[in-house]
Amino acid sequence: MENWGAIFEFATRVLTKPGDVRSLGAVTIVPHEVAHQWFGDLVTLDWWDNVWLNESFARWFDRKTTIKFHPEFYTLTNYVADKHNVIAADVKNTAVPVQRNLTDAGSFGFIDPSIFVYNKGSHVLETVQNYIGEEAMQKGLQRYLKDYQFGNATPSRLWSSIEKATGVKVAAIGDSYIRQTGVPLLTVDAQCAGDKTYVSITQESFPNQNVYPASRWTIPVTLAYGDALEQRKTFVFDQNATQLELPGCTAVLAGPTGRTTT
Amino acid sequence: MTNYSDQSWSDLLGKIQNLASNQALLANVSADGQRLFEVNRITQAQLDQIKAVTKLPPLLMAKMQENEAKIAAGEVGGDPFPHALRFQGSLTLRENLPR
Repeated sequence: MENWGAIFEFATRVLTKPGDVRSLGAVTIVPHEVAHQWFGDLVTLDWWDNVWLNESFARWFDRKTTIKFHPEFYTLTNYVADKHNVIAADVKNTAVPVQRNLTDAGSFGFIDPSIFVYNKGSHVLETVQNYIGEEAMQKGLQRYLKDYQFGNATPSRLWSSIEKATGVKVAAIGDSYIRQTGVPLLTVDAQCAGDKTYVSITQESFPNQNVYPASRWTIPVTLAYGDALEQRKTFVFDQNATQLELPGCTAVLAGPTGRTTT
Repeated sequence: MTNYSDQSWSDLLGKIQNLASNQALLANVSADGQRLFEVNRITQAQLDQIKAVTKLPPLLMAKMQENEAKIAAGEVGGDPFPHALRFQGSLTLRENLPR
């Protein structure tokens, strides 16, 4: 528990008996609660709806920290697997938006289902960082913490701070992922003619059983292309279809999360 | 999640080993293929080809397969939401969508 300046945790969850292998939870719980000192404590949620601003940041940082310092426990490939767990959950009829209306709730069960409040939100933050870059994200979050220290946060305030610090628009991207259920499905058709490749991209909702299915997202798309797929082109895609040209005759890989990996 | 036309899949898989050092990328393309196959957007033959070309080292492969087994068994998500679900934004009701 992330009490400010007094993190409480069961010893058995953090400490490992001599001879036993540490669990992933034992490795991630400390950076998770430390991240909460800023995200949740210094800046706290405005209402229960916004709890993902606590938990998604804490999850994002506990995973980033573990990937960097304990790759024997968790790698970027594990994070990819986690993203696909989120996708599997997000296409069910039990899916709910990361940012919800909890006018009936008070504190009861406000973090459930946790896969959205913790995991999906962390992938949305990763997507925003992929799009604007790690250094810009750091500046944006520093601005956010300064703007709302000892105060309350909402998604609009988060996006606004990032935009003020970086000059890059992220609100439409972030909102389209946190306020809707499901995931977008891009379909790419790349055809060579002459010395150019003409790329057609459409978006639709990945087949789902959502109660309120979304139909369109604002997606930071990164294309990898070139002889060895070494070239990159990133753009924001918020229509049902678009077309663009790439130099040369080339295969194309499209990443809908601001980079080609995750 | 990204799908490709048949020709674009073929072109991509012919080049993707250029990114073989990026195992997370290969894992993601492979998992995308699995998701697309589950909703009949690609064929079994295409999925087999994707998995063959994006083959991961045994340990990583085992982790991804373990994860896919959890998804296939429905062990991911599906937890009940204890509150009334309300309209969240500019969404379209399912019954109004042309099918």
